[in-house]
Amino acid sequence: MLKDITLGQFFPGKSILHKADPRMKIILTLLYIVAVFMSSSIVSYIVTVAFTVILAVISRISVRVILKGLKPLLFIMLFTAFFNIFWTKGESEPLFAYGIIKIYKEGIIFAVLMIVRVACVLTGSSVILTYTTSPIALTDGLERLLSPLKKIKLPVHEFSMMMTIALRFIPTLIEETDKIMNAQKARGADFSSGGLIKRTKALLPVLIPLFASSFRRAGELATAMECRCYRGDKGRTRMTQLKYKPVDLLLLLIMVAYGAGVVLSNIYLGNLIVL
Amino acid sequence: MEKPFIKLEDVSFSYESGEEGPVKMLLPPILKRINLEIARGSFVAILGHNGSGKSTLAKLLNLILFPTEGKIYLDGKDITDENMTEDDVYVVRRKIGMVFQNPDNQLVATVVEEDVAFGPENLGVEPAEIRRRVDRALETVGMSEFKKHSPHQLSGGQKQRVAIAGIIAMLPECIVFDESTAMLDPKGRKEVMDTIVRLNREKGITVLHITHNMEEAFRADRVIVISDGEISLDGTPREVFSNVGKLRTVGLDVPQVTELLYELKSMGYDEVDYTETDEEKCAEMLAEIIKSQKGR
Amino acid sequence: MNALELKDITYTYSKKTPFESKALDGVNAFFEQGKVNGLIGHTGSGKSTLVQMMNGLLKPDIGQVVLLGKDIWEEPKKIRQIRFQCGLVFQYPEYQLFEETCEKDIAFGPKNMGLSEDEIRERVRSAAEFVGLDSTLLKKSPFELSGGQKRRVALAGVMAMEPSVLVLDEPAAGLDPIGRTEIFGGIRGYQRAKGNTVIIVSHSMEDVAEYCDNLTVLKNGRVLLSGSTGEVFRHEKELVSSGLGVPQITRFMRLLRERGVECADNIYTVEEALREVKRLLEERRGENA
Repeated sequence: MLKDITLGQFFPGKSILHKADPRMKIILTLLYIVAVFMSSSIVSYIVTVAFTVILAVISRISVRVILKGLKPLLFIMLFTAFFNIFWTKGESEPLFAYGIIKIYKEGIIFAVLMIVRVACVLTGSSVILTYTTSPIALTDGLERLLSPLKKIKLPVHEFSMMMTIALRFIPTLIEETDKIMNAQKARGADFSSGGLIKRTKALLPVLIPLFASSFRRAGELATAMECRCYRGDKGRTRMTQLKYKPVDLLLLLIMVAYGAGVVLSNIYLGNLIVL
Repeated sequence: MEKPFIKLEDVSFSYESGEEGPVKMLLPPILKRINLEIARGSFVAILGHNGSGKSTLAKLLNLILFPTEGKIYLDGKDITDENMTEDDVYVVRRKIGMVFQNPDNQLVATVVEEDVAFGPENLGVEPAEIRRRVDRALETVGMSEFKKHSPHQLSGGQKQRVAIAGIIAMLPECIVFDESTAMLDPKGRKEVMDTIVRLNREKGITVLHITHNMEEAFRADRVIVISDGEISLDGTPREVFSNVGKLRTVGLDVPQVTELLYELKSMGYDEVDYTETDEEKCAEMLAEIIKSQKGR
Repeated sequence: MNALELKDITYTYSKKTPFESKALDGVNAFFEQGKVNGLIGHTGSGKSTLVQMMNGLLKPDIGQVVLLGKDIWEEPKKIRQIRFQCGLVFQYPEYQLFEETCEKDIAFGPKNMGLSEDEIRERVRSAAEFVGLDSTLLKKSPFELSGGQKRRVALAGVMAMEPSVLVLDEPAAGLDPIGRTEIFGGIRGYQRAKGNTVIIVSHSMEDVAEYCDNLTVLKNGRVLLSGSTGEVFRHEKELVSSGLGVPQITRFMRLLRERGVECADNIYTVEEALREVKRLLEERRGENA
C-alpha cells in the first residue's frame, strides 16, 4: 500500500549523529558539501572518501540503505561520466582512438572522480542529515537556525509551520488519493490506457475531489488551530528546547579537521600524485 | 445563587448571504432566541439531527462564530461584548476547548507529543511545564505509550484521544465535543466516550457532547434536544427519552428497548414504565408483567 | 444460487517488507442471489480488503472470486467489465464527486460503460429516483448539497451502472437517523426493483438486523460465522468476543429468557420483539380467561 512509504527517509537510531542537534547537523552538512567540492587532488579525494565512510559507519545506517539511496542517481552519474570520458581532451596521447572517438587518461580520471564526488556528497549529506534526523526536527532546526531572519520580516515561523503541516498531511493525502482512485475505478474509470492527453484527462475525477477535500481539510484544520489558541508565533513557546551539547562541538571539530585536511592536502600534497 | 458557568441569553444566529449589498442580507436563522444555562461540572448531551443548529451552538461558545443577536456569558462575564480584546478571546478559547468530528483534520504535528504540546505552546507556557502537562494529558487519555508515534499510524479512536489530550493540556474548564464520535467505529466510539466520561467525573471538566447517538446521550446528566434552531426538550436522560413521540418527530431514534416498552404502553399495558433506562431493570419489569398476567 | 462466491481467499499486504501483514487467511464466503447480505467485523478484520476483492480492485494471492458463475480473473484484461457487474460504493462516497452537476456525476459510470445517450439519461433518472433525489437537485453542483444529499448522489452514481451485485461499505456512516433511513430505503428500493444482490458492510448491528437477510462475520481475516441473520445473532458470545455484539433488542430478549420468560431466541428487530411479547401477554390472558 502507498501508506507504507517512509517520509524523508528517516531511520530512527541512537548513533552520535542521531543525537546531534539538528541545527548543528544543518551547519555540518553545508560545511561538508563545501569541503567535498573543494577537493582537487588525489590525496584530498582519498581523505574525503575515507571521511565519508567513517560518517556512514558511525551513523549505523545499513550499507544496503545507503546503496539504495544512490540508485536513483546512478543513471545520471554514469551518463555524465560517459560524456566526460569522450569529451575531455588530454595533453598526452589518447589511450584509445577509433575514428573521431578518442579517449584520454584525463577523461577517465575525471569521470571516476566525478562519480566519487557525487556519491560522497549524497552519502555524506544523507547520513549527517536526512537519514538521521526526523523531518520534524529538521524543520524545527531550520526555523531556529533562521530565526534571526525574522528581524528582517522574513516569515520563518510561518514557513516552518507550513512545512510541519505539509509533513503531517502527506500520508493522509496519499491515502486519500488511493481511496479516490479506487472509488473512480469502481465506476469504470480507466487510468492506464490511452495516450498522454487521455490519461491526464482521466485524472480529473481524482484531482478535483482531492482538491475539494484538501480545501475542506485546510478549513477545518485552521478552525481547530484557532481553537487551540494559535496566533502565529506571537507569545509562543516551545516544549522541546534545543541545546548544543558536547557531542555537537565534537562533531564540529571533526568536520573542521576534515575541511582543513582537504585544504592542506590540496595545497601541499596536490603534486604528490600528478593527475 | 451561584452564577451559571455558561449562560446564553436570547441568542440567535444566521449566516450572512454571500451577496454584496448596502444592507447585510441574512439567511434564515440557524438558531432562534436560545436561552440556556449550563452549570459548572455538568455533563450535557446536545442532540439534534443534521442541520438542527447544534454544531453552530458549539462554535458560538468559543467565539469561532459570533451571535447575530443575544448575549453569551462565561462565569458571568459577557464574552459577546464589543470591547473584548483579542487576548480576551484567547482566554475564552483556552477555557472552552473544542474537539471536532474528523480526527484527521485537527492534529497539527507529525509526532503525538508535539501535537499535544501545540496548545500550551501557543499559550506561552514554560517549556518544563509544557512537558509536565503533555505527559499528564497523554496519561489521562491512555495514550502515553504512543507519544512518539506519528498520527497516521493511529486508529480513529486513538487520534481522537490525542486530540482530546491536546485540549486537556491547555487546562480547560469546559470541553465541547462536536460530534467527535460520529466518524469512529464502535471500539473507537467506546474509547472516546469512556475518556469523556472520565474527564467529567474525575477531573470535574464541564462537558458538552454534541451527538446524534442515543446511547451516548444516556451517559450524560442532562440532555438537550435541538430542532430547527430551538430547544425542543431539556431534562435528565430519563425525562427526555420518555418523550418518544416528540423525539421521533424531530428525527431522532430512541433505544430499541425504550421503543418496545413505549409501544407496549401505547397498546394499553399500563404497568409498563418505558422511562426506565437500565436494560436489566427493564427485563426484570417486563418479565414480572408477563408472569403476573397469569394471576389476573 | 449464489451471485458471488469467494473461495479460499488469502491476501497479504506489502509482501516481503517489514510492513507485511496478512489481511485475509482462507476466506470462504457466499452471497445469495437477490438477497441483502450483511458483512460484519470490527476494524482490521479484513472487511475492507475483502470488499475490494469482489470487484477486482485487489487480486487475491490465493483463491478464486466467482461472480455470476464466472472466475473474475479468468481474463485479467477484462477486469474493468467486472466493475460494472459488481458495483462498489466506498465509505464516505461523497468525497468522490467531481462533476459540475449531480446529473453528470451520476452519469460517469454509465458513460464509462459506453452506453448510448438515451440509455444514460434513463439510468440517471431511475437511479436518482431510487435514492429519492429531487430532479431540481440534479442540475445543481454536488458541492452545494448537504452531506446526506451528497451521499445519495454518490450512491446513485453506482446504482446507475445497474450492477448485478451492489456492494456498500458502511453506507450510513456518520449520518443522523433520518439520513440513515433515507439511504437504506434507497438501497432496499433498488434491490426490490431490480431483484439484484446487495452486500452491506456495517458496524451497526441494529442496521444489519433490520435490512439484511443473511450475515457473514469476519474476524482476523477469517470467516467466524455465516448464515441467516437470525441464526448468526444466536451466537451472542462469539460476536461479543470478536468486538461486535447483537442488537440491543436481541440482548434484551435473552435477558427476558434468563428471567424465565419462554420467548423465541431468534429475535433481532423491535417489530418481531413486539409481536413476540404481545403473543406471550395474550397467551397468558387467554389461559386466564
